[in-house]
Amino acid sequence: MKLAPRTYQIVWDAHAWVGVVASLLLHVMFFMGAFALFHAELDRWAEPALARPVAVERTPAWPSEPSLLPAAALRPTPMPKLQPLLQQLDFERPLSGAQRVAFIAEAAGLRAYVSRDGAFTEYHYAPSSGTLEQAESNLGSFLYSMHYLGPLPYGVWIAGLASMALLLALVTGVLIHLKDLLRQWFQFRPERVARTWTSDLHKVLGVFGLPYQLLYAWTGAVLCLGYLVVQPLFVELVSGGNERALAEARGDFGAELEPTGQRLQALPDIDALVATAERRWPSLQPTWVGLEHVGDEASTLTLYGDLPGHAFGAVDLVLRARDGSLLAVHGLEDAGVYRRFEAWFFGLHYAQFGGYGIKLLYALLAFATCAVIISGNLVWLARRDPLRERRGQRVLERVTVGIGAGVVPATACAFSANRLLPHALHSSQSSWEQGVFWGVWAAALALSLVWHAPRRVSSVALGLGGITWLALVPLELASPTGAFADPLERGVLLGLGVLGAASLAAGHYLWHARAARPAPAAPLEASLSSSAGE
Amino acid sequence: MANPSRRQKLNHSAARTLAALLGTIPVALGVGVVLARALPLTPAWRVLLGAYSVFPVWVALAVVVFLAPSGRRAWLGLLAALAVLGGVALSFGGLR
Repeated sequence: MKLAPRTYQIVWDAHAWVGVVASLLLHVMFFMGAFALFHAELDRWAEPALARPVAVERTPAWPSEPSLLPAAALRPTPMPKLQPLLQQLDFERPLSGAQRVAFIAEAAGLRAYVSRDGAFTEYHYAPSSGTLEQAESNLGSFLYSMHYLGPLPYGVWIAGLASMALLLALVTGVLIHLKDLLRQWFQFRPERVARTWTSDLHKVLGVFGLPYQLLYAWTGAVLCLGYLVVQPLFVELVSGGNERALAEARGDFGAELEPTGQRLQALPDIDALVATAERRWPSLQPTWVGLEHVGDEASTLTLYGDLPGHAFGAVDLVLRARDGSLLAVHGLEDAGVYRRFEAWFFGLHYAQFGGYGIKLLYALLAFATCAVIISGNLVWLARRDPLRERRGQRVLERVTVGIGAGVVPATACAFSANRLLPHALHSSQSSWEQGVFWGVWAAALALSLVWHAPRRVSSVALGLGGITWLALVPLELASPTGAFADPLERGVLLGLGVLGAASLAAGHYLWHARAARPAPAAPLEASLSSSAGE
Repeated sequence: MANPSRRQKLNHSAARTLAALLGTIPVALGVGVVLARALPLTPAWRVLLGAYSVFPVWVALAVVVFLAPSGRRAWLGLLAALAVLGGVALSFGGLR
């Protein structure tokens, strides 16, 4: 299908402008998204003082699992006895009055958090000592929060708007190439000038990654803005202000009780409560156990778990903490259409299926999407101002280099900071890691703004990031703790090694890539007809 | 930068761009509300289709409004759509 010239040009302009305005935000979100997929593993890796989780033989979730990613690391580790951990936390600081204590079983091990008066304290379980230890680093969680721009003011709103922009850019991109979508799938000419090969790269990776990008644009917009805008509006305009009616329509019968203020004499027996839930649902594998309004008479225990053999099959149960009575069960057979849809919708976003094979594929597609986004900016520059005669285009080029390439060494240096910080600074480790991240990124941006050859800055930034990641591999191999014996450590190091090599190769390629040549100015009619055929 | 004849032909304007990007948001939300109130389905289906249609509808509207002949026509069309959606929404009862 071919669009009329006017329609084509308007859609092309919308695609270009929306893309260039949102590009760098989206680049950061997708780049960080690759790390967010492994945030639990990275959080565990970032705490080398902790003993490694005990390997448990399980069936691989993905048949072609590489041997460096063992089956034991694919599924959440089984929950240990939780009562001693609850008592440990209560001994260190009485839990009565805390809003929530949660235990989360992940492939990387068990972690826990206590939420109290708006503050959030995270712990990791050390199997060797059988205790919880407060997290010093939150490298994985920090990179995860950067995925939705959480550390920035109004970051979630900005991330939501960027997701909407991506949705619009994708739809307009498809409209532009409806006539030749199949050709754009395969046409890549790296020997040509920058204008051609960046355009080819943009279209090839864009078409290949289209379903993935559409999924993330839609789910990202819903995750960031759905709960902030759509839900409150629906409460007012669909259910007449009756929040409960809307929740029930969604299939959420909300068994959580309001706190009464009456205090219980002792902590509940959390293991007995979990056992009650497991008796109710024998095939359940608990992955999340949360005690709400700890110490209150109306305290409840919420338990989520996976049902093996069901795609996105999850069960959640709510029990009264005081006596273990069952308040609510939501399983597969009584889950309504809304809950099943959301289980798939968000399950696909969070890659809650297929084990590490799917996560690696998602990460690869995330980096490919970064290439689509940055090459889009390069196409813009090559088409509109190949000689960079206008100040605005020069700034765009330099900011694209500073933010787009600068985020690579910034992230790599945050990893290095985790390993190289002196022991005396470990009490403020997460602040140092984040400080190094922002500092290196700001330095890369500043350098790109002042250096006479910004393309060289992008090569240097990618090369520096690559070398920093690669340097971690021998550093870890020489580590006296012998951490390389651990499967999780091996997996993370393999990932960092591949990332390092890829960054170095990209930096090397950009250093030698041919620069853009000026294109002759074309009149409107010729421009429209050639664009339509391009 | 575009030359004057190209600009005239495409009639890009701030009013039309704002209508396409921002003016379509309340209309898309309105479509979602109307679907959730008016569809002859169970409450779960109505709320699901209403809530999850907002962003796809917004994209479709944005593309269509970008093609409007002028910013004035774009805004008038959006206001008319919002009025119709409001009328339809009011004639159907919501969830209680």
